[in-house]
Amino acid sequence: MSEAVYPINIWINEERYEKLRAAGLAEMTRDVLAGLKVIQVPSTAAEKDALLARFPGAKCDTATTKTIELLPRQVKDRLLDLVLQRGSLDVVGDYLKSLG
Amino acid sequence: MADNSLSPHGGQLVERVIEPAQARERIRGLTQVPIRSQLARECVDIAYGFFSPLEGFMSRADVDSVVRNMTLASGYVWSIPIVFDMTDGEIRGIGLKEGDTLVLTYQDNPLATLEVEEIFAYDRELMAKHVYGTTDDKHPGVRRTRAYKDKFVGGKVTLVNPPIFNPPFDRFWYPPKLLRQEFAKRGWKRVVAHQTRNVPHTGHEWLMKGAYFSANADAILVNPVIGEKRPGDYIDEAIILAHDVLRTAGYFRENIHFTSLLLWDMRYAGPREAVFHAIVRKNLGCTHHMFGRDHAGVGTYYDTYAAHRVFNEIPDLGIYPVRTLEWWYCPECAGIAYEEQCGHEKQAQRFSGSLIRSILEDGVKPPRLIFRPEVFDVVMECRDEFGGGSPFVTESYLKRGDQVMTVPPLQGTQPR
Repeated sequence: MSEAVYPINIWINEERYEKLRAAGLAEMTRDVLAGLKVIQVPSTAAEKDALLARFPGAKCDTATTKTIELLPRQVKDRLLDLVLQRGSLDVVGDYLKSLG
Repeated sequence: MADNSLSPHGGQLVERVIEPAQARERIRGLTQVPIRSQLARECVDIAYGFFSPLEGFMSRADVDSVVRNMTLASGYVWSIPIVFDMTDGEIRGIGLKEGDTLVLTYQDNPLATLEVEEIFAYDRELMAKHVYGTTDDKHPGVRRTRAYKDKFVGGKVTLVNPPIFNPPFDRFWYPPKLLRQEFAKRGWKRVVAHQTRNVPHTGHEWLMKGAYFSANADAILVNPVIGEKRPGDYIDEAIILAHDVLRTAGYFRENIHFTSLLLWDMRYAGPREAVFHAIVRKNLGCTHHMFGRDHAGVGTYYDTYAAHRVFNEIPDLGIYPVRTLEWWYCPECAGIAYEEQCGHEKQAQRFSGSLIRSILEDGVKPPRLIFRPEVFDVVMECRDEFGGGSPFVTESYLKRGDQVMTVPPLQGTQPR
């Protein structure tokens, strides 16, 4: 049975899109909600719990979207940097390790 | 036998506000007690009749009946204890006894009197368990209950010094008597209330439009809750002005939309708070109240549609609950679609207030189909004018203190 996945939405503004395009990763984005671009970085249940414990202002929107929202912008910037470096969306584990 | 269908609740709108000239005489020589902002808001709510039939803070009999049975001792449905708490030390320090009258001060000026009819203790764990359905300390309502001081003081409240509402809140301040007059002036007989503590996205907008149809309403009352904030909430100014701009920008016609504020610190009590909201909006003159998913909830303490079902378990409150399901963005329908009508559930793209906040935090402007550009502009203006650079509550926003209302010195007296 596959482990539950809790996506983190990284909403793509012009600056972020330019970075993805320059890295050849623009196709990682999805078009949603009538004109927005997003990349969804998956996290496991344990990773979700670790993130929410570390960043109490964030939440898992269990009521509606089932995504992790309200992580600080600098966290998302760091996650995006890791995506750009690795060329992969599986970066949450490494991000959490980097926090110590 | 209590007729819960009467409007206002209990049959009569409470109004316990006296003129300044009477006030000076009334408070002369009485002991003054400063109160925190939550209690100040509730004094104002009680005195102006938002909480009819309550005339003051609850007695033990009322608290116990509300906790165990979701009724007042009189039999009228009531779901949230409204209590005034003091420490044993505070009580001893002023020699407080039943029969006394206190002057409650806020921002260093007299606000209201409290006639001390009863001083009592109450089991706070029992209160939390029944009101919130949990004793988990992570629930903000449970934490609030555990933080109550040693004793409760029950008795009637009279406003002796009405607060001044500061811009931009001043033009949205309508106590029940005035709001009912507004409805009558406009010829509105069927008004559906929208409860909110958020800036509106189009899901909210469609929730309101759908409820308007369901209620066959004359108008929608948007009644944002203005009270205690947590870091990350939208600032109050953004909430109220953003809702109003939906009308001024024409997404709701002028003659079917009204915005007024409710002073209240959310308890996140789910279905019990839904009942409370219904009663308060009935007191405001509404005939219907819309309830979407997860109404007044927090985390996963309450079933998604618990607020829909609770009204099947209590007597007719005389305000009709308009139960609505979800609105989502459907790329097949090419617009915002309703769960019960759209057959493209697999393609549905759900969005929420939290998701919109994330989008804004990430420096992205949402498309107009999801978040109206006029609402976006108001949020950004409020960010700059009121939020110190953020449209969301920060520690520095909280440090500003109460910006909504100011209690002036009582006329004819010197400020303390």
